[in-house]
Amino acid sequence: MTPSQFPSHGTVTVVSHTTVAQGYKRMELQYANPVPQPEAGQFFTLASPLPAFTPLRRPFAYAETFPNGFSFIYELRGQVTQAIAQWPVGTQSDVIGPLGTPFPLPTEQRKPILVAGGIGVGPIYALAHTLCKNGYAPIVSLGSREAALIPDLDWPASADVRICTDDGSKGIHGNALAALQPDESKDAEFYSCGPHPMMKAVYQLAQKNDAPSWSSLEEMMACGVGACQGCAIPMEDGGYERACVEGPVFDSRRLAW
Amino acid sequence: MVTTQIDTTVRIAGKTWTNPVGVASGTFGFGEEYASLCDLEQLGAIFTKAVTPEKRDGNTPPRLANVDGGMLNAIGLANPGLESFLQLKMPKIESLPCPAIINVAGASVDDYIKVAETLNHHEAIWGIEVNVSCPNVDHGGMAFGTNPKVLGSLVKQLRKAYDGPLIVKLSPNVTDITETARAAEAEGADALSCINTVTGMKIDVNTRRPLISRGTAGFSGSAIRPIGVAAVWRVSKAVSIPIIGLGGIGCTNDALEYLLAGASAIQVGTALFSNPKIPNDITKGIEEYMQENGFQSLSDFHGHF
Ligand SMILES: Cc1cc2nc3c(=O)[nH]c(=O)nc-3n(C[C@H](O)[C@H](O)[C@H](O)COP(=O)(O)OP(=O)(O)OC[C@H]3O[C@@H](n4cnc5c(N)ncnc54)[C@H](O)[C@@H]3O)c2cc1C
Ligand SMILES: Cc1cc2nc3c(=O)[nH]c(=O)nc-3n(C[C@H](O)[C@H](O)[C@H](O)COP(=O)(O)O)c2cc1C
Ligand code: FES
Repeated sequence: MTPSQFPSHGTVTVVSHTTVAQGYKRMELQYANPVPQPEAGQFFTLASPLPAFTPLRRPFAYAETFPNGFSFIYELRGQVTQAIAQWPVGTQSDVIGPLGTPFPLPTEQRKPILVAGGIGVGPIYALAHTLCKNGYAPIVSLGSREAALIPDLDWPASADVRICTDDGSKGIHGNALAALQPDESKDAEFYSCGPHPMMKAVYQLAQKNDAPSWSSLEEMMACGVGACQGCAIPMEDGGYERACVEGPVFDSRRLAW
Repeated sequence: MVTTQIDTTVRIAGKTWTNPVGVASGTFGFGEEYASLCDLEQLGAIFTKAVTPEKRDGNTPPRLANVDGGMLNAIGLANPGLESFLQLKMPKIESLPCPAIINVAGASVDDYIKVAETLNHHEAIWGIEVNVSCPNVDHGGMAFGTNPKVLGSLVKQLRKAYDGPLIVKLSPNVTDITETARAAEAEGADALSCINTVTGMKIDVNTRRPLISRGTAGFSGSAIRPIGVAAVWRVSKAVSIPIIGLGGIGCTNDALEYLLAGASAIQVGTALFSNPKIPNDITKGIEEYMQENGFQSLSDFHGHF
């Protein structure tokens, strides 16, 4: 798949804004004018509400897409996410998107295994919906420290969602890989987004099974459109690629882990 | 209301831009990246990412950090190198609807000369901007920009190698910026860009490590505007060549400050990251201000300070 060639920049209005887990919210935005439809794994940048103080737009992955809008799931982290968490329905802002390279569909016959943790839930949620619409029945493993941090979402019926918590307060006691049976990894194709150690473990499991795997990476971004070279991701064969154009989704085998 | 005939043309070394609002090197790539987000036709000029003779991968990430009033960057002049630039970027530059000014960098005098000579008499290129003020590389970069003698000798050789508009971009990381400004003017620079980023650093107290892997980085954004305005004001009194002001410009009033301080044109950098349409808005805003205040040309600003 090719990266989106022509991102658009337009006004959006908050139409729904709810808490989905402790410290996580879901915001649904409606476009003022129609824009190109994003694919799972792609992201947009949201204007900073305090541009003179913290000028950089903030990147977020699409979680759901609708004919005239989309939603995203975000963690309350710092200045911008704390500020937008206060936005009531009706607040206007602007977004640039769709940006970046999306997740590819699985290679024929392979069973998709999706692994998410923390802020990686949004893009994995989008991917689960795309896969189910295309006739796949993915396994989705969600890892978290404790039950309260797991977003309450409408996963598609044909997805096999497994919850893992480090403290055993919900689902399987252990990390996100604890939910997978050894034989399930054999003819699988892996997709992951979340903390770096989690994605590395997924990549290693995929390698062990000679299975393809895709990781969606996070890096600081300034322009988000490929102009500033700020979002460099180190590649296995030396050099860097841009998280905002060649990524954020990369073939895990190409990354310098 | 009677509208006066206003002239927003910028003139440098006999060549012109139609309006005084450019976009700053390193923040706008080679132009194409922003084609759907900014009206390129309305730009005074595009200053490209630095071009060095050899390809540069750039610094180890993280290369960016948020700081109050702006950002830190340590890109490390990542660029495809002169050969790939000519092959891959030049065709796109040829089709840009506004002047393209190539930011030239290097680790040695020979590096700068090589890029300048290659670009000399290239139809599609309006001029070059010499980056002698990059704080993010170990060799060259800022070393050329902080010592007036070293800078003078570089500019002298570049003047021989390049016939078109030669713009020297000054570093604010000096004791007296008028010394480097005078040295560049004396050796034949046609204009000065003022300022590059200010050296800065941020440390994460939890990990007890700098946020930028290199340690120090270039500080840009609205917080450095007073530094830039002061630099332009002082330089404008020290030299008679045109000055292109930049550093923290995010709206029309910011741009007007620079013009009043003595700049003949401005560039928008970091603010593009918050809104790529800002240069277009500023161009309109400057015209409106001129209209409302009876200014007929950009040079009218200078007498008004
Ligand atoms: C491609 C991509 C997709 C993302 N998708 C999501 C998502 O779906 N949900 C979610 O909650 N978060 C997502 N993030 C992370 C999100 O961008 C940060 O959480 C957010 O920028 C924090 O801003 P802040 O002002 O609240 O925090 P700050 O206090 O400013 O920073 C906290 C941390 O957030 C990150 N961050 C800050 N500014 C930027 C920036 N300009 N670019 C990238 N990272 C930054 C850094 O890791 C930083 O240490 C994504 C990041 C990327 C690169
Ligand atoms: C990400 C980034 C990359 C930059 N790269 C270059 C460069 O390659 N050459 C150069 O002369 N200046 C470079 N600069 C400096 C800017 O052109 C400008 O001088 C500086 O950022 C101050 O202006 P601002 O506050 O409007 O950004 C860069 C700045 C940023 C933020
Ligand atoms: S964020 Fe600027 S190149 Fe990726």
